[in-house]
Amino acid sequence: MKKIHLQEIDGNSMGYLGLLAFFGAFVLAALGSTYYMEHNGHWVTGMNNQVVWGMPHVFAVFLIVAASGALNVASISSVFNQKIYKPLAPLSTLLALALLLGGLMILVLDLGRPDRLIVAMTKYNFKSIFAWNMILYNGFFVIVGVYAWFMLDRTMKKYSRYAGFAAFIWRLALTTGTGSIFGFLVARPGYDMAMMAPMFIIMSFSFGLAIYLLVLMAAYNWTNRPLGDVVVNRLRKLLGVFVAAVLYFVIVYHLTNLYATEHHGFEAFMLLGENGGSKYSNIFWFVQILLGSLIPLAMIYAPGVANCRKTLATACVLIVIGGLAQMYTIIIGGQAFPMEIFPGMEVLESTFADGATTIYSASLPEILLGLGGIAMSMMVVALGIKVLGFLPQSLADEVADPHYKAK
Amino acid sequence: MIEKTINFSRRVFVEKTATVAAAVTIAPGVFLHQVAQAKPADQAVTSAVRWGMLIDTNKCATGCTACVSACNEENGIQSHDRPATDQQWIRKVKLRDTQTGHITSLPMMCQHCEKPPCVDVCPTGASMKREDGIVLVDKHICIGCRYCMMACPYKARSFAHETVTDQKDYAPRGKGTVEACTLCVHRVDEGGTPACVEACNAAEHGAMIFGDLKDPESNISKELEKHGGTQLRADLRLNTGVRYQGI
Amino acid sequence: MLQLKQLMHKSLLMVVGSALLALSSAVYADGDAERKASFMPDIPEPMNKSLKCVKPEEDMKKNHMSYILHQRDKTLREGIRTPTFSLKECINCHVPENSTARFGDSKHFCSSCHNFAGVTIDCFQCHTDRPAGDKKHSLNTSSLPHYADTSAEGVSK
Repeated sequence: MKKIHLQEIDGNSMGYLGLLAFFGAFVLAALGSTYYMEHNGHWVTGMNNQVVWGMPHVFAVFLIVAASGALNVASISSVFNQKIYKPLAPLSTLLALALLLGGLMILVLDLGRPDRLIVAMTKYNFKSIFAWNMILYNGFFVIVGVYAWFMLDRTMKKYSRYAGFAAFIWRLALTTGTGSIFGFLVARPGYDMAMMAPMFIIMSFSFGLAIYLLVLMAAYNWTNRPLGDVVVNRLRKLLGVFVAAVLYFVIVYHLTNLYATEHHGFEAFMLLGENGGSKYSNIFWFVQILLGSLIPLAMIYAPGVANCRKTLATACVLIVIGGLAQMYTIIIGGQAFPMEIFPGMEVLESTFADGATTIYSASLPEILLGLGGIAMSMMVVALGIKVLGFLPQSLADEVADPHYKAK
Repeated sequence: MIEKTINFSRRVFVEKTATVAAAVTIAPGVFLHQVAQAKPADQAVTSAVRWGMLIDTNKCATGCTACVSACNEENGIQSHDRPATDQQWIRKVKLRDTQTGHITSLPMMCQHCEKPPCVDVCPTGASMKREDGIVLVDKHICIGCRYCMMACPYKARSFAHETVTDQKDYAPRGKGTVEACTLCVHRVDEGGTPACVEACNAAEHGAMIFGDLKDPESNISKELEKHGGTQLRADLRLNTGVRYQGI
Repeated sequence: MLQLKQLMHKSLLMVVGSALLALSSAVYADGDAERKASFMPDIPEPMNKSLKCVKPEEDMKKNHMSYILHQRDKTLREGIRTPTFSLKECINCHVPENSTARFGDSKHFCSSCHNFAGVTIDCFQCHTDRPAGDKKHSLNTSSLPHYADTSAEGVSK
């Protein structure tokens, strides 16, 4: 194994500037959407008093979860001391920070009073898991930032392992907290489950690694740096395990719900589309399960396409789409299902949609805000790798593989 | 000092420290008895009282929306003809028992839980419960995250989806924050009763009783002791301040 | 939020104040009171000039925000409804009952100065910027309007 050289990318090409402009346009569109939503009030969005968290939250929670997962690669290198992951670790920290920034940007810009961000940062109700999450998010920036610094600064490098440990524990706490935002909601049958926290952790592994692979392949492809099959295939196989693990957790989640008779209504709604839930069950089966889990699994494990980068990239994109769909069914589906306020009673009349399924349609500004968050993350990554040496000059097999033998 | 007075439109305001007992006859057969303890304005509310409401669904008339209109007028809530995003502090719900077919009509609002999930989840502490059990939103520090709306088992809260104008001076409300029934806290602090209860009485239904759950001599306590009352979603053990009879 | 705003308010006032001082001493060294006055905001008079404010004018200029902030938490969280530092009472006294001026207009008491100093406040996104008058709900139990109540401590006539 040769010495790894971390080096900034040139970032002068028209392609690079075009990429920044492309992402910048989406960020601007997101800011415009925010202005439109905040100026008029949230009635111009698809969100209402029944579905209070909409498309922005789907994107935001997805990005926050993926941020934690993107750090996985670094954790494997520092905590589990896997040599092949060492050169991949700096990008992992940068991507984690960027994704969290994008997710939080969406979350904050969707607040009813985004101007009061300072209140959220200064007043804490420590009983609230949401307040804990704000501490976890802020702490994540600090700890992962320090971790990245220790890795990139030769004089601090010897401490990077400890920072890696701290970051690993912190990211597990962060995803536990994010999952618990939903897991702690006792009144809604789609949420009230302690399993939400571990499920979110495993989701983070999958989504984060899919995005990591996409960014890695794109960066090496566009900068003409060598990226060997050993690294890519290692990550590809790991990704397959994670996607399968998410699928397993989804099955257990629904089986657990099916065990409790009181949750049968919700399961019929989500799995069979009963009670007006066909939109959500369709998204569940066709996007989350088929398009976002089964097809990518086949693409990852099919023997004929083992070294095909395009197939892998397509699988990663599908996993991202499937992940967004999973967030959609969890966040929107969980709210759209009518809450049981009057057990044993059928609601004949109500002005507040009691007992009625809500059909949510995201408005354009909400989608633009969500896409803007992703664009923000990608812009930060693009700028980061230009400013600092997050990327090794080469990840060719003879450089990256500790067991490389010249043929 | 106990003062009894009969007055059809307005109860006389007595010295703040006084205990006021007003018996109002508004129609044959409907007899209202109100004991209210108006605290001095400069004293903080205490946990010596817990305000609550008892709703007799058998007296609540199907199709009557007197409580809803009174609430809207009292708190300056205006409809924008967008039912999905309009604020509703109180709503009428008509129910049918799936087993017996019995039809019930009842008003639904913030249940003023003893252990409110909205207060637990609020990140900034804007969702709060006063010592006397009234659950409120501190709109000064509400950031509009809507997590309380996710957590409330009763869908009691509304988000101000658009600019609010012509607010009442005692009921400040504004775009981008969450709001809900305040139990007409501005009236309660002066020894009054919530607007919905008065409207229900004025409509001669008398389906709503407001009072102190901790005072065994209060109307609401006596009625609860005698005939009982159920909590909605009692399984969640939130110990609601609003109780129902007949469901 | 408000604390930050206070800070901003104070620092802004200091900046504005020192700039004004420098300007006036340089340009109006001869002390032309009338021309100096044009640099000050045109603050509308209170409705009843015979009533004094709850605190001396100078004190209110400096500290009204902390008085209101303190009262705000007391009222909302503890139900303390003394009129002395109630925002409602500021409006009842300083904004004419039939005034058409809304917050934001230079003729509105609060915005006359806040516009001048460039200090943004969000009080009136929720609170009404006009006096309550006698528009209380017909079913209201209390017949006594708050602003007629002068029995509470601290109110000087």
